[in-house]
Amino acid sequence: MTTFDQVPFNNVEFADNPEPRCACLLLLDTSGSMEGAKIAQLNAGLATFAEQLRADSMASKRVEVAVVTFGPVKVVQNFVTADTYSPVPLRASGNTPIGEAIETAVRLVSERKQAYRANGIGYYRPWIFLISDGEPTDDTAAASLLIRKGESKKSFMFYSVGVENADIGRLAQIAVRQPLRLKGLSFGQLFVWLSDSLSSVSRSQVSDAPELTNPAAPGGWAKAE
Amino acid sequence: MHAVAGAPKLVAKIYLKPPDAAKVEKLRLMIRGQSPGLLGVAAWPVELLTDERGAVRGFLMGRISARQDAHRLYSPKSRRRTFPDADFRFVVRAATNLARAFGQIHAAGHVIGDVNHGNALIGKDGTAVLIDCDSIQVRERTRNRFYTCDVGTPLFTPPELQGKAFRGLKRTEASDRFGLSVLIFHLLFQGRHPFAGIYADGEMPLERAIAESRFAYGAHAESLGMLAPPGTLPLTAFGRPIARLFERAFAPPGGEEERPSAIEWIDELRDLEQRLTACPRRPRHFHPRGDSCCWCDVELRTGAKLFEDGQTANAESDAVTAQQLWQAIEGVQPPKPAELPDFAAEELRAINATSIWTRFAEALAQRAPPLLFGGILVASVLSLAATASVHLLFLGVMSAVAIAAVSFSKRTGNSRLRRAMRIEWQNAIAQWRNHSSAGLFSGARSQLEQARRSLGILAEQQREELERLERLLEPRQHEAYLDAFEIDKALFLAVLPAHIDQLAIRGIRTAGDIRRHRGMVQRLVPAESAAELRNWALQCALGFKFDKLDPTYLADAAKVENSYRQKRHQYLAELRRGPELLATRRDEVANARARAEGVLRRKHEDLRKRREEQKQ
Repeated sequence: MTTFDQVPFNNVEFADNPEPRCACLLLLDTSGSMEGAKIAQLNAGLATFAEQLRADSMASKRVEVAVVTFGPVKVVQNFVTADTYSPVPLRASGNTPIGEAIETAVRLVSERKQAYRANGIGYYRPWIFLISDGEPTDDTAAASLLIRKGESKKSFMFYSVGVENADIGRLAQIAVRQPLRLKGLSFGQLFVWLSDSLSSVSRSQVSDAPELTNPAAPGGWAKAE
Repeated sequence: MHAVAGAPKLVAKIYLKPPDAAKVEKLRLMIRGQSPGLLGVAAWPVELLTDERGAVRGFLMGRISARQDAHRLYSPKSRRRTFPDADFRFVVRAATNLARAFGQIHAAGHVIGDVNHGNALIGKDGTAVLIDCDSIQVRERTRNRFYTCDVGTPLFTPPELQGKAFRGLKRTEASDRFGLSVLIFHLLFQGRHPFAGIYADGEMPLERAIAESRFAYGAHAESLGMLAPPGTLPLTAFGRPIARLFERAFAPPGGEEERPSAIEWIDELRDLEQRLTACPRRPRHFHPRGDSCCWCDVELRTGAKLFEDGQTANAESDAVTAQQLWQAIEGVQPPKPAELPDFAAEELRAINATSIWTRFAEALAQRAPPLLFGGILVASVLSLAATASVHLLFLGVMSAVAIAAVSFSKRTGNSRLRRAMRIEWQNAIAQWRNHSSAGLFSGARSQLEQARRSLGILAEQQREELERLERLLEPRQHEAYLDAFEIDKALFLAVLPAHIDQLAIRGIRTAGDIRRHRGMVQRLVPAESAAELRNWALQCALGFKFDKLDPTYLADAAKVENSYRQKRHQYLAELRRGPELLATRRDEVANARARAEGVLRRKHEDLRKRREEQKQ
């Protein structure tokens, strides 16, 4: 290398921490209907999530968290390793543009994978985790296509969770994997499960789908439909 | 994992569900085969644990003193927190010790099997210990029977075993040799995996790269479509012999050469450690002697800080340490507020019990003599102009006053005494309060708080001081920088060669000279040329950036860093002593209070006796 070679700055984080990455994008509904107990529980859940991941020394170097909220669609947090992720409290307002949100999420994930590849960093299949309590207020055809393509090419895994009266049937049309319904407002349990799963993924092999505990089992956070 | 009462050097591992017969057999075999060598490098089982019915539930093994997962040492980010003082010599020593631990296990005929970043632990002294030993593959020599490992971590699993089920899988030492080489690679190459590289043709999961032997740093990497990640060191950075060992370790299986054994690694790593020398620019960069500093190179190329010379890293680890130390300090309970002992409260009540009338009488008694004499005087003056009957009355009054005076004088004496006693008691209480204060404790506590605050702003202060140094040196560097631009090497429109010669004769040869001698330039060449030259000098100056590798700066910065390191140690030492100091202060407060109470009690006794005497 000579003095004149370009030095991209994003090298730093990968030189500092070259562990293989497990990207997890949280796609969170912060529309008006989430106001009150729901958004409060969600915020508390996020705090638990960050805390739990930080407590695992390996997961905190391997798991990367990004947060996108809607609507309107906003990248609240682009990907950072869990040791530096600290959640900002979310506020509820606006409508539910799930389609646009999913498109943004897929774009962010694919950009992140590009960065891993360009820097020779191994990675696990990224997760996109959608939590919503409503029906989409925009067109979701394109988003649904993206998910189908991504899942079949094993580019990412898309999970969706419906809160309270969310239209699970509608979510099922968008996603490939069966959506789950949150039991009451057990956001706390959901995020404990999520961080546990990510921790175990970050210890497992890079390319294989991990074995997760069933969230719909008795004592879990999800209700079987 | 459980502590064992009465055996501080042992811990017990209890299984959640009782182990099957084969596992028990394996544990027995391991316990029979224990040796000082194995016990020194591994959490090796030493005794079985059975329940009341005689069923095996777990085993005892040696306690591993404070150690950290190997991954905390190899990635720069966690190394800064967990091993803030580790330089590359330490990393190489840890790698050597890891190879020694593997060597011990192999010498006994066993295979570790599940090699990974989490079951090799590194201590603060760089020694290595292997844990989770009950998964080790054990061989029974007499029957040549194997107890397999049954688990594995793909990123440390050799190509020939990738994708195979680990249950019942018989491994050989060659599989461990692969895992050991991957671990050593992580340590030497700052957390990089040997098979994580850039693959041009889409996705290349790490397992696949391993299975297909696509070693990203190897001589054949390019022909396999692999490139080493940007900002990493070449495989030869630590010398050809080490590079050879890695090439052998990560070559496709079934080749001519065997993977390097633990002994080969030990030899080469020991040699590497001896060849390490400090970088003249960054004293904490230890690199192979004879080459330019590879760490300066990586830092320059990535912007990452690999081996800290004591700024941000210390700020981070200081904050963590200070936080932990502070918790210990807060754990020391402050003394309770001093409470007046019961007897003292009683005494106070006894004193206050004197009624308002008594107090009034006392006050009157105080003033009785002047009143008396005043009365006599007035009476005498009146009697001068009086009759015999008045005289008689006067005598009567006089005798009454005399009787009153006698009785008053007695009471006055009593009341004086009582008053004196009360003041004495009040003084005693004040003294008690004074000696019972927790000031000694809270003083020490606020001193510790001060140390903590000072520690918190230390990194900031150090940064400011370094910036000040920079500002101080900047003008000189700036001039030197401009002097590197020579006028006769530049291209001009209006400046003619004759002008350049004119300037050169007067010693004006560089952009720096133009800045220093503006007036002379103005006089020597036409205005248009002078303007172009000035403009050119300004253009040159735009590229200036302060060079932190300037030897003067480095020397001064090292002094600053040293002085701050000392301060840091001082504050940390103070905080570390904090809990003990506070405990001592608390004891001192308790002792002082006991003494003060004793004094007060004696005073109380004394006053009580005097009161009794007075009554009689």
